[in-house]
Amino acid sequence: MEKDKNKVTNKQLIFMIIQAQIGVGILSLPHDVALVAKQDGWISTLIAGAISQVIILIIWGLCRRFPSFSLYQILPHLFGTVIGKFLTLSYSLYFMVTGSLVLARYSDIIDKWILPRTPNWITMVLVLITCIYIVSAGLTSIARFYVLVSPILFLLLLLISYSMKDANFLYILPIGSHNISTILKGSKEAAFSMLGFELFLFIHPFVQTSSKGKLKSITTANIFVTVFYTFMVFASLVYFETNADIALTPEPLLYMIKAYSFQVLERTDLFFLSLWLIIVATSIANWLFLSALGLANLGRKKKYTAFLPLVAGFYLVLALIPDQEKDFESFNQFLGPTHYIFIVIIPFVLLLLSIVLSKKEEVNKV
Amino acid sequence: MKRKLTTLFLLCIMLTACWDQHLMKNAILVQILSYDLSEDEEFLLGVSIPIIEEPSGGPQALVKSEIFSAKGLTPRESRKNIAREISGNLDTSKNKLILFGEQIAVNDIYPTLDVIWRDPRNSLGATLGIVEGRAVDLLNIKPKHQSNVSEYIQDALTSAEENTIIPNETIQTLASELLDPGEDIVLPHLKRNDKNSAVVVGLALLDERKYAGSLPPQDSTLLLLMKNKKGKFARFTTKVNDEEKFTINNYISFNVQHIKRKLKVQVKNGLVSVKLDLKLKVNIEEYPKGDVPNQINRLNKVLSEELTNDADRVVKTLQQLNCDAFGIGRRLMAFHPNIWEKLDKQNYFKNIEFTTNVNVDISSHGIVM
Repeated sequence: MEKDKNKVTNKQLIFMIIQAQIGVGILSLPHDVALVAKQDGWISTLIAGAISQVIILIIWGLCRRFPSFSLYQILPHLFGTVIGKFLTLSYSLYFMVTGSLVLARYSDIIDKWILPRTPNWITMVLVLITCIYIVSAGLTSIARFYVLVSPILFLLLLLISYSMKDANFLYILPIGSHNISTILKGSKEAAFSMLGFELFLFIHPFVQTSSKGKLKSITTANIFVTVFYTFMVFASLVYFETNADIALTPEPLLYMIKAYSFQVLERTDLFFLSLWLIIVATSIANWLFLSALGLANLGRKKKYTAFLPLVAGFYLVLALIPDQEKDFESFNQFLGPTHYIFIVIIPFVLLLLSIVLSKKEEVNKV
Repeated sequence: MKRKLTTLFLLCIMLTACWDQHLMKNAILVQILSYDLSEDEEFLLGVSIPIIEEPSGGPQALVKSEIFSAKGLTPRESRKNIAREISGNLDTSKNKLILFGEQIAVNDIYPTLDVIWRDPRNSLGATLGIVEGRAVDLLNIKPKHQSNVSEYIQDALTSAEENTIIPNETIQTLASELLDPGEDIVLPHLKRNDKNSAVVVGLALLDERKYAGSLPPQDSTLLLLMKNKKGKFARFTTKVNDEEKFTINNYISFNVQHIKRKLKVQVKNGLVSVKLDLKLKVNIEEYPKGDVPNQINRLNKVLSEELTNDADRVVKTLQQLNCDAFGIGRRLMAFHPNIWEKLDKQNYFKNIEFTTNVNVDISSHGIVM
């Protein structure tokens, strides 16, 4: 690959991982977690962050042994061409399915909250076109764009903090009243929203720093995301009554700010959503990038941009399938185990294999 | 250049959301909704919509209001029935106030609010109020100095808020308290005075989701202070003398400037007791007898006693009506979850022992002695 063109700095890596992790899940995360762990949901979120950190260490351990191979190159290297190609295709498909679920949930929320009468495919096509445009510009541009839009996260934080003036902090008490298994079950819900750091498996060869520096960046990103999520969950837990009220509101964060109007701004939730849209677009762009990259690695053709329209079309078709809430649930149920397989188990097996076979990339000093 | 133009053209086509436009010219904005039960137990919805008249001579357009009402099975159905009567789309997204008639409020206020939470276009910034008698009658008043009824009622409520007679709450901030088994809400209580005016008559107290009773204005101010929710002003008038013949001389009026509240929930042998301490720093606003500095100790003492008595009375009323306005149940859940488990979730508040103590400290007395 043309490495010189696709350089990413250490700091850009932080933002890329952050943008990859924070996505469509943020709106419903407090609801999902609170359904299981009630007022201890914020502890679950913290634990989920810790779990992601462990997975990040595994992923980093694997990447350290192959400093210039992305996962798509490591797979055939360790498993041989046939199985490697098969797994590459599986990864590509996995990213497509995950990405289209994100796309479907995005358009579902837009449909419910802002544009009830606009056909869903329009909103999907619009965001896909934007994403194709971002992704086709190459890794450096993607990274720069992600850095550029990151201040939005602070705006979201600000809006949520404002609604804290009507919070009742008694709702969070008593702390730790649920047993550890309940809290861990809550973490499982939260962990899905933390996904996205697997991006590192694919972009680490382009990051211009030592492997320790990479670990530092990716850890910083994960800590930021964990704190960000925990704050969001905490904020909704003290705002809503944790047994009945939060169970009634699938998107607590939107509800929180919907009630406030400022001098020139009413329906603050619309403002929040239009900012959130960009955050979602970055994660959709990520999945798009990863699945197109996978397809490109299957054949001889190394240019992934050619696959973008194809992949985007696939996204659109898949995302149009789920129609009701229960479709999303079955979609999620199907994806649950696959997340474990592709994000945890395969990288872990690869790491073990590479240690056992003592296979490592021959370091040719550049 | 050609490419740019094509892009521009495409953007123009694709970025216009023609499906979801809401044109202001077709919208009839609702400013107040009223919920009632009619005599035959049907739901009765009333809406107040503003009518803007062309300015005649003056620079300012005159805003009047018009009232529509219709029966139906639910709020949505009644709204559909009203919509048949008027030209344009009824739009509740800028609604500022929802009034409940007594009849419907004694049953349950929650079910009628569901539509407000469910439809994303509805405004969650609206306030709630309970009206003595029928709410729709309150909308039908013709105030002389203000041609728009909804403006009039809202102004009345805002000034009551500033004077700590009613709390500053919206439908969204009330939602959690309404659903919380350990806390009950209080709402503004309004009454139609005569043909021309409405009056805020204090607070309506709710037991869970049902209207249970009310508090008169001065007691409602005290209750809000006890809840630690002070508005801009909190004024009281209390009798401090007996001997004067001309009764005006027996009274003192003061404004509370600063409050400090301590609420302690204690549990002993499974019995819940609450200690509520309220310290008020007040400014004397009216005392025709005069010479405050000399009597300051006596006045402090008398006022403290009087207000403590009043506070006891307020608590007694709350307990009679089973309205846990202080959220004691929530505190029990938070700090004594084991005790809460054992308590009767419906009637726990009646059996709580309250010790209230109000301490008044006169800190200023205007610009005369």
